[in-house]
Amino acid sequence: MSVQPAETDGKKGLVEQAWQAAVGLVVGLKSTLRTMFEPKATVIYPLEKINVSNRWHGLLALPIDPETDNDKCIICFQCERVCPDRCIHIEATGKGKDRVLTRFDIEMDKCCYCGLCVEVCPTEAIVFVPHYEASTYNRANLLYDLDDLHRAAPKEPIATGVVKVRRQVGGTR
Amino acid sequence: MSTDPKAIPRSTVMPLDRALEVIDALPGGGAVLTKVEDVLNWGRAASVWPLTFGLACCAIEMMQFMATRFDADRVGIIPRGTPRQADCIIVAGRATIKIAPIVRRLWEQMPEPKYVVSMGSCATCGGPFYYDNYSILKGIDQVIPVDVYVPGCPPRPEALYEGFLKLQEKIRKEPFLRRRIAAAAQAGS
Amino acid sequence: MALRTEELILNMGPQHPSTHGVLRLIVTLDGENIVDAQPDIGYLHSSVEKMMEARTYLQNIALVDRGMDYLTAMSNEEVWVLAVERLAKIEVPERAKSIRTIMLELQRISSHLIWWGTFGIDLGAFTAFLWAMRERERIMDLFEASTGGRLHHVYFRIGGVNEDLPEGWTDRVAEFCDYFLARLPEYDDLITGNPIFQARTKGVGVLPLSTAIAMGASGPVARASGLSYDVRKAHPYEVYDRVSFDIPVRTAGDCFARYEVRMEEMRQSVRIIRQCLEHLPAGEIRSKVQVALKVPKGEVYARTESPRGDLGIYLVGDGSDKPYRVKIRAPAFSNLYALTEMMKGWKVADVIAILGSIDIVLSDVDR
Repeated sequence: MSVQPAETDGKKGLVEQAWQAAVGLVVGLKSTLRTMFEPKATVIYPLEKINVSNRWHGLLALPIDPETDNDKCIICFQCERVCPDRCIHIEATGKGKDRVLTRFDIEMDKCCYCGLCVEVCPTEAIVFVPHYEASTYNRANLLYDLDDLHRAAPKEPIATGVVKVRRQVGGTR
Repeated sequence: MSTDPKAIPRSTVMPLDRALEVIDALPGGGAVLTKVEDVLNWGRAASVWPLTFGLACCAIEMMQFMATRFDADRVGIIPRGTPRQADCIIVAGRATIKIAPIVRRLWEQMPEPKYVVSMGSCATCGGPFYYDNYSILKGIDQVIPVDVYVPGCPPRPEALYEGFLKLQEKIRKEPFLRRRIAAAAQAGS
Repeated sequence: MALRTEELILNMGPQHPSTHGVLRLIVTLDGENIVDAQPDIGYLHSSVEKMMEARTYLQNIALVDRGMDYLTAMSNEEVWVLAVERLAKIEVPERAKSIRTIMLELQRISSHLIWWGTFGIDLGAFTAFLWAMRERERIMDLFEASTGGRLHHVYFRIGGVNEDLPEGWTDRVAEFCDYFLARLPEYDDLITGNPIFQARTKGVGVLPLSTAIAMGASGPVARASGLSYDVRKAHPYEVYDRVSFDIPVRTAGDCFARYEVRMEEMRQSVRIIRQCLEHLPAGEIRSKVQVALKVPKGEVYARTESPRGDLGIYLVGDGSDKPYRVKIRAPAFSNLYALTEMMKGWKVADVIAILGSIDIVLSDVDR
């Protein structure tokens, strides 16, 4: 069963094997050398940021509508129902048109960023934000309440194209 | 293997710590120690070597993070194959109840000071596998203490990068010499 | 006097840089020769099949991405929506079918690239990993622009796809195809033609055809042993019956044959993508399906060709909006089953080469 490679190559001499290995090495090194002079693929992350697609499933937010100065949520509970991770929690008081949100929590640590809530929302109240920088020392910070979700709604993506940004806290010193 | 965190000595007092205790007691010694600590912390923050331990999906983004485009090597994040050489463990992915003791053992095998980055929803709290599930651990912080949580499912490599920058910031501010002195004083008293 | 020998049992993993996840191999050694190799699985068992019974058909799309083979999220979505569509008798628009095929083939390339890179690392070539990741990032960019996710997309829906392709996306894919085909000869220079690589893979870990069939191996592992079987040809789904492509088959059954089959599959994937782009029909991308879809009573088995092999889902519906029972037929599990046969009689140094060549994903094995 076990046909060792050394035996199959046994007919060739040791010198020939060494020569072949050397040739293979040179051919490989030639391609790596060619790659060395190609444009660099690396992004110097804290200083440069690559473009995030506007469909990117980033953090969730409830953007403030400038006309009404409030979010567009009509408290239909559809997102809460469709969420596969059950990480959206909504509570409201009042009846009919006077209904107001008392609680709109998203557990960002439990969220799987699938986008079903964004898809079912009839008023586009809940949206994906092209942001991803939310790491934290404390897990409790990842429970986003209504204020956090209002605040998390930014106006523009984190970067458009490879841009230079100001040196941030925690960058390489 | 004990899982009681108190049963494991967090750090052993070495003769050097005794010497530090003496220096700290000298007039002006505290200021010198702070400067030394700053330099040491700068060095430590610039070489966080994580353990290559991929559990699930996030491991693929961790590979991207260490590969061509994001190139973690340039801020001193060099993956190591063995816990004995690692400073930091990236828990990348969901941990089952079967793997949890092994993650704990790997963490125990790492030398002090050691850090844990919890990458993604599953490692943070079970994520999509939180409900109706009998086999996934509800968060890796039930087993090992976590320093930085990176949300995402899976997080982008940049998000993990940001988590590491946060970790470096934490290391830079850490009064680890003071902690050793306190440990020495406690052991001595 | 005869030398007294005894067998040594060596545990590889679960934490091992080359086990591709959390696989534990219990290898019985006689000196350096492998007498037996038993994989110990279950370290990533996430009880997906059980969880799917508690989630609606739509929510399960998000779950199969993560719970099954995470390298090929699209294939998982595909097999799931295919099963549901067949049971509920939902028509899919032509454009959605073509888009799905493009996505599946892009996913196949990206999955094979990960395998190529990690196989390179396993055999000591780090450059392969860096190059594979460079190309993969481009595919990730394409995915991000169209689906919004890099690894997990939740893009396929029951009866179509979520969003239409963004503007200029097809041109970017065509550009990527040209770029990628130009890169493949470099890969051959670096790894395929390398005598050291060939010495470590040629003739190593031979899986005879009869054993491959007996063990239920599928995909590139079976095709490298001479079994010319591909679900895309045998049971066509989406638009695979309208595109022309070849099934690469080798008869050697060793690591190098499996390597060659996968390299050729990437070329064929590019060929399929180009044909789909050429004949991409206009029109609807999604038929009307309600969110809480109720699937009639009955059972169905859907099978697709994932990059790892024959991926199937057996679905039982009970008339409610949640499945009654789901069983996943995972290709990586069957391929891992054949591992023991491949490893017997080889040296301990070949373990990593053989393990890398069957391209297992533990999430697919354990589910």
